[in-house]
Amino acid sequence: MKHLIYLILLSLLSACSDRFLEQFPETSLNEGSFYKSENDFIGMANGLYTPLRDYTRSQFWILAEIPSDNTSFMFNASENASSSSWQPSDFFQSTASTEGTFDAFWTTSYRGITRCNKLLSELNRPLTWSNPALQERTLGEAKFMRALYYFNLVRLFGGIPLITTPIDYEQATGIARSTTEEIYNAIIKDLKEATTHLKAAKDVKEAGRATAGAALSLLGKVYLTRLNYVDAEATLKEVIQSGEYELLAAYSDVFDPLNKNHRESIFAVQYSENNAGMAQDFIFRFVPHTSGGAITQRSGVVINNSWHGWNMPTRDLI
Amino acid sequence: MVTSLILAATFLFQTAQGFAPAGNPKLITLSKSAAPIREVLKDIEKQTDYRFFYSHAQVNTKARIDVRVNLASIEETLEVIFRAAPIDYKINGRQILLSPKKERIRLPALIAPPKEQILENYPQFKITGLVKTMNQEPLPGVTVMLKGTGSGTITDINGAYELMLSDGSGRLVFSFIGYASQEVPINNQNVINVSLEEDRQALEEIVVIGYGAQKSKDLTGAIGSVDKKTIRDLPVASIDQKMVGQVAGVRIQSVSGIPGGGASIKIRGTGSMGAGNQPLYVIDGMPYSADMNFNTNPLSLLNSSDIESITVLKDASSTAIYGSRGANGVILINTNKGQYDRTQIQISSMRGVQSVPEKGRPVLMNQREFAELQRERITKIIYDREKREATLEDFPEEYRHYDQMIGEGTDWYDLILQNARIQDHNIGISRGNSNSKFSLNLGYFEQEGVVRHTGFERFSAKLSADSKLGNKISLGASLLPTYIRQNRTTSNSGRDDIIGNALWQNPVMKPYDENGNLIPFINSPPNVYKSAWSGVNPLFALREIKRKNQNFQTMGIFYVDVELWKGLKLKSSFNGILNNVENSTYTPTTIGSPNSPPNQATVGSASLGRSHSFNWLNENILTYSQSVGDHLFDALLGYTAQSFRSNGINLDAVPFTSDVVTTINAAQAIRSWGQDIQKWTMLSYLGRVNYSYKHRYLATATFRRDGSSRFGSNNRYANFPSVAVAWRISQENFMKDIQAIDDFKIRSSFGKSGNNNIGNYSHVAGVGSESYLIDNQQVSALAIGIGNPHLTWEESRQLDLGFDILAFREKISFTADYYFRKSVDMLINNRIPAVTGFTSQTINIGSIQNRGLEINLGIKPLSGNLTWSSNFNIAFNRNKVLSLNNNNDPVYSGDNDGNPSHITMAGKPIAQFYGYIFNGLVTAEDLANPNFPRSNGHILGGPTFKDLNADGIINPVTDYAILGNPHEKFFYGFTNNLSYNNFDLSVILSGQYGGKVVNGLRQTLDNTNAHFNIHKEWVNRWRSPESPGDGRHGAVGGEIGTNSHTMSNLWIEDASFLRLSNISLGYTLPSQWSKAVHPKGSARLYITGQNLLMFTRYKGANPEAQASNRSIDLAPGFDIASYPMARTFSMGLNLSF
Repeated sequence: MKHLIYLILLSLLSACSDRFLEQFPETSLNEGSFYKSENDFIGMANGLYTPLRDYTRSQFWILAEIPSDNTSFMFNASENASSSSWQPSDFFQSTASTEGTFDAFWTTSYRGITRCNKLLSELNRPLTWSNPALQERTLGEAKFMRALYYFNLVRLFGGIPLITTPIDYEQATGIARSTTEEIYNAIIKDLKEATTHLKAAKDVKEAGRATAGAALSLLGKVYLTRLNYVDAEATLKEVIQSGEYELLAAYSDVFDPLNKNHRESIFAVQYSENNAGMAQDFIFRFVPHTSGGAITQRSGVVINNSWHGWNMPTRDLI
Repeated sequence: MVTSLILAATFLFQTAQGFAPAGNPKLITLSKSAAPIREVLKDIEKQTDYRFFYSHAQVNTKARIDVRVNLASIEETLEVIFRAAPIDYKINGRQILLSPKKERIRLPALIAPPKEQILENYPQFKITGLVKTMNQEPLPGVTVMLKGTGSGTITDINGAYELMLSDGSGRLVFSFIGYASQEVPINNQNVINVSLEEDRQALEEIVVIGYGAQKSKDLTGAIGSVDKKTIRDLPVASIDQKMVGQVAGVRIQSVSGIPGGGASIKIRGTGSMGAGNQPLYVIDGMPYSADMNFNTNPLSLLNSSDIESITVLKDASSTAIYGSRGANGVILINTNKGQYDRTQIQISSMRGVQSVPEKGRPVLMNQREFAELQRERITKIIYDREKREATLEDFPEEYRHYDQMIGEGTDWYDLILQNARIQDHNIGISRGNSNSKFSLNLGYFEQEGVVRHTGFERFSAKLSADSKLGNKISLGASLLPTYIRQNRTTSNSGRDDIIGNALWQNPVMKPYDENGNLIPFINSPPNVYKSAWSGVNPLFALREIKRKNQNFQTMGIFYVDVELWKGLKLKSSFNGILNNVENSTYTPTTIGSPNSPPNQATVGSASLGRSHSFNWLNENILTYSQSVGDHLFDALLGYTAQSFRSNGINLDAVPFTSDVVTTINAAQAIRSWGQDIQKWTMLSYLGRVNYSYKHRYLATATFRRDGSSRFGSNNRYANFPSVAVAWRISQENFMKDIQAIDDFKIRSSFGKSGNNNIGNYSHVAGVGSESYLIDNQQVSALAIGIGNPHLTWEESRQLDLGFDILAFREKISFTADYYFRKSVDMLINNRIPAVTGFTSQTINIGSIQNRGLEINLGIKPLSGNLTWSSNFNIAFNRNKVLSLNNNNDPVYSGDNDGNPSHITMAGKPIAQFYGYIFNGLVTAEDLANPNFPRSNGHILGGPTFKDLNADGIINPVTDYAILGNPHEKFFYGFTNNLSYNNFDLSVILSGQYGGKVVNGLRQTLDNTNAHFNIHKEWVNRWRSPESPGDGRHGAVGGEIGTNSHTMSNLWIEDASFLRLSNISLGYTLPSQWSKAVHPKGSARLYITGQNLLMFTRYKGANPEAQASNRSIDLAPGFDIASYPMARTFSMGLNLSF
């Protein structure tokens, strides 16, 4: 009898072993205690935008704008600029310092893509949403952002590894490049689906988030890039006909810091002056270096670092 | 003492019954009808270790009796047998003495003397005498024989014998089980007294192994044990310090002299880079976490006088049963318990004094040399800046008058040291009858620090009770509550800690003011050109800064042992460790920091951290033993569950405007706070089968399956198998005739064990929180981090080949083991493809190998009145990193002004010293040569280093080279025990050969920029091209300082040493004295000296010292501002009755 009790006890212990061995940190947010509410997913959706913000501020324009005809690099000899990556970038020279910029852009892009993939894979979890439109919005955001990250990547690198689910390092090691065609097909598919989802989320629009208009506009731009003018026209017409957007009367109003997310803005990376990590420093970087504080009008910030005035617009842009 | 040792061994064997091979079950089963008593006794001898002693002439054992007992204890059995017979019995350890009932023992007669012989050769020479143990206890039952004849007798209950022989020639042979036989020539003496030396019976000795115990002869693994007697007198706080030099291959590194501080213990080399190399401790079956904690040694919570046995498991066959925690070896510690049928009180008391030896103290410039250095720097700066010669007025007043600088100046290091008290007092009471035993030990230990205002205290208790419920159930419980408190200071981290501070303070300045009060802050004389550093008065800081640690821990153990079937036993135990720690620090308003004296605005600060943890373990172990003919099996099957949870909070409060109330509530604000909860759980299945054929062919197979919450979901369970075989060649017929060889065994084992110190939650993906702006509102933007569901234990695969020889009647024992240990799946932070969304991740990828040889030689050259036994062990280990991350990128570690001090790369031993190679002092020619490589402080006479990448600039890391290996070539221990009559002497030597150490403080301080007081060697510095000094010590800088204090081969020294660890001399009071007080009394006095002498070429104090803020695995051999090791003299008294 006694033996029997022991045997039962033993088997009971084994039965609950899986839960017994499942331990997650109690003092920090972690995956083990996550995915419990819609706010967790909305928080993840917010996280899709930060890599975009970070590379837009620090890398994307060095790789995409400086080499273009819009601006050029202007070196100010009075400043200590021993290791700028901007000048080589202007002339399409690859050096150790530009590699750092390419590396950061690549890494940040895939960080964004991974977040999209992770959100999409976890969205399958059974969860009751207070408003189904929020779920649609979240789905739409993930697909839109994934398409945007791939679009920026494919234009800089051509065919790249196409990854649409979370992968670990073993799966990632030796992964092959997809063709440019495959990437664009994935982008177009994502944007079409994003449009559908985001249309269903019309009532829960928020400034800064992807919208159906943004998805359609990006899709139109993708078609233009692919020289598919027919689809581009149809897609972009839909944006115009939505009546949600119009050109502002004064061009300068478009960049007025006090007038954000206006009717000419379809999709904009969001920055805040209140927090250094969320701020955009273009105003300091692109201001002419002889201007002192006249343009920036930020009394607290003295322009004496070595970064300002280097990205000079060309005359025909102005 | 001897008796109690025998009893202890017997007891161990008894408690370990369930796991020991079936050779000698403790319980007796008899079923006889009308059998002669003699036959029954023989049966009992067959079944147990007990031996009967009696005289045939007096005790009639031919009487026939009926006896029927089933699994009865010896007491019960004897009760049954002698209930009716006219025989008295007395159990004395393993001996049972029989005598006629209610009759005083008469003089023993000859053992069955052939009558004819007596008639023909009537004995007329009478010999009497007493036979005693070495501790002067009478030894009954000893056989006394005339050599080469059948004549003889046995000693009576008082150890006395009387023998009638024909004449006074020939030799007497005294022999007794458990003791070495002794021969004494008669030489016409009528009184021959002898003391018999205990025969350790090495082969029959019971050795504690994982989840059981085995006889030494049946062992298949590489196992070392510590002789408790040798180390009993050592005046140290924790058991690890006592084990130094005692077991081959167990390297116990005294990293600091902090009272109650931690030591580093490594068994068979370094097998991990990031998961630690400390072994697993198992105390009374409870795995006890003793990660290296620099300030408080977890083992200091254990009173070493409560310890009965220490066994070290080294090879995979013995450690695999501990699965994912066994890779670094296992140290099994069993505490003592009460004894059946005995009441004993033991008292021990020790008091001593500790001091810091002169050798190894820092040799710094005296006040005049220091003033010269200051003046030289000022002179040079003035010349560089103003192109003029300095005048006396340019120097601070304090440095102007060499003639007034009488004496060495202030020795700041000496100022903070003291002769410190150490004491240890224990009392133990144990009591038992045939069914229950009980013991209570109380202990108090105090060790003042040799650094003033530091120290350690321990209050400990141990209560245990064991009882039998009928024949089949026994149960027991023990409780070990301990409270320790420590007054700490800062040391072993750098020049800013208190000991560091005392090593560079200005010798010209005085510590006390005119009134004899300590000056809080030592302001070096200010000078417009150059002022030496100012800093807190180290003695003032020691007195005023309160840095305390308190720890209350209770370990509780409960078990029940049930015999389910014949030979089948179940042991269930529930163990727990409850621990509460409090750390508090208060730094008052009077404390400044380097170059910033305290002022009106200086505020006090306090920090308080508290944590509690609970660790419980439930074990259910089934054991079964069976013997069929010459085949002996025993098997073990177990299921265990363990869980640990700790919860700690910490508060950091500032400012305190006054020092009147120093508790947190008096602060104006809490500056920072935190809470940390850690939890892990573990489920394990384990099994072992031992098989032996005639004790000649031995085999062991073990298996453990560990499930751990620390492992990723894809690898939650880990399997650890091992096998071992051994062959006792000496049991073969062809070797049986070789008398010299008592035993010769060869062993081999292979298996896997693991290291699970990979962090509690490393496999779990965290959720990172960033911010983004949505609808112009800041919202939290979350991102899932990288998890690793594959993350798992580090695995160690080990092959062991060894042999044991016991020769010349156990006078020589020799053990050698070769091992090959490969650690794979080492956790390393690896660069991973960015397309995963991440760039690096900690994964199981690296591997390290350790190969080595361990040799242990024990000899007993002398026995008899003067006995000498000696044990020498030596261990060689060679470490090599086989692979690191995917690209085998080197891993840099350590810290030297922000640069690494060590490098780990594939193909080399782990953690090589890494730095510049000194290239002499800059000459005028070098200075003129534009191609000569430049570094900071490139001045005439300044140091220069090799420009290894030949880029013309001497840069950290890019011009670094491997400078040496911190790992020793071999280390050794040499222990000698001598005894003569009532005196005993033990001498312990330990040491290492090879290996390098960095004098980290010199690397940090030793420059000629006149910031600090520096080593006296700098007196021989470069002064001018005509007076270039010793070529190693560079010039004093001018406007440009020098950079001599970078990591370079200048500061790397040989770490070889030989330490006279301990000498103890004891005297056991003659038994007639102690017996006068109490019939079972014994008393021993001893004096002991610890850490007496050190032979080393290292110029620092302790070649084993290690910085507390640098990893002992990845940045070993870095000695910086170390808390000094004390030399201790003490005396003590042991009483038992």
